[in-house]
Amino acid sequence: MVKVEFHTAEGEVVATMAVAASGLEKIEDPQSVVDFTVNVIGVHTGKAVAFDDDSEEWARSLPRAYRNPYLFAVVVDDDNPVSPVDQKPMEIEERHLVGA
Amino acid sequence: MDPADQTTMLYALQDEFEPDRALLDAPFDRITKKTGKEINGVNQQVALYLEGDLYCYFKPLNGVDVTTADAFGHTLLSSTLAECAAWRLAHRFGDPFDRIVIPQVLRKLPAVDERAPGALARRHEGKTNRSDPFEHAREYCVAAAFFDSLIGQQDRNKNNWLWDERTGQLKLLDHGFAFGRPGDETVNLRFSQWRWKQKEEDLLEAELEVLTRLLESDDLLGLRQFFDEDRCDALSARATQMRDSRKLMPNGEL
Repeated sequence: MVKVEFHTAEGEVVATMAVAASGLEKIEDPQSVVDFTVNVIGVHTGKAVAFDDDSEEWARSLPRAYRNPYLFAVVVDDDNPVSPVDQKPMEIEERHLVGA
Repeated sequence: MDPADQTTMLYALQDEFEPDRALLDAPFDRITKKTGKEINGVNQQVALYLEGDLYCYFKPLNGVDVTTADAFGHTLLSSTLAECAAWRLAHRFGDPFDRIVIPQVLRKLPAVDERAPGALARRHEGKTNRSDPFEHAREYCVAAAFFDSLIGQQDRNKNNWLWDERTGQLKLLDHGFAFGRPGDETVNLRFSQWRWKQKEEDLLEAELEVLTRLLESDDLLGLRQFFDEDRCDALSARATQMRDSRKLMPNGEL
């Protein structure tokens, strides 16, 4: 089971859904923001996946499609989660060209 | 090119011309909401105000989810630069491209991240996940298809555009995963798929003129000064193929 929330950058949750291996279990989406035709790059497979191919992998990969501040997806529960990645931050010195 | 050299060159280009100067010059005011980074697999989104009640969204370079970037063949830096590169090209191309692409600038906001800059844009009105543009703003969809095809957009799903039904304006969002190279992943190229399906893949004269300007430029209208060489080479190759074939790129081909 994978549970997904759809947020705005302002913190509003505009939709929620629960997806099982057998398909959609529950959805609350009054604004119709969830697009079941969207393909996503699977977090486990690394390949494009559609809802009808593998509904759970599709759901847990939705943050890769819904990723802008107007609306982004957050996986809040997952029976087969992705391993956390230790992401090393970049440091970039800020320079400005003289005379620019 | 060293990352600091890339960002330095982009800062210099932005200083030379950026129509939305407030994005570069307005002092930081306050953060409204910062979210996303604490959750694996989600890009960080920061809603903030610059002085003058300028409401913006900021995507810190260090807030890009590295696994998602990697899935599209990008790095934290290339994803952030791609956002700005798309706007700079659209602006140089002129109407209608500078109307459908949201201005994005590279800016460092130490209140969010002291280590590196990010991509900053004004918040625009409109809703995501709408198919209305295909019915009500056909000319913008035609332009979006050309733009996506040329820049090697890798994911133009319905959440990556805004539709403002009040003004009938389409705005393209999120060019962080664009400027793909041959072999990189692509999904959901809605506008170019639509244009092919309409059998309107033949380029318009104005589009051919844009390609000619891009290819006759010494530095791809400035992109070669700051952007990854392999991504610039791929852009140049697409422009050449499109000019010679007088068609959009085949769907999914970068």
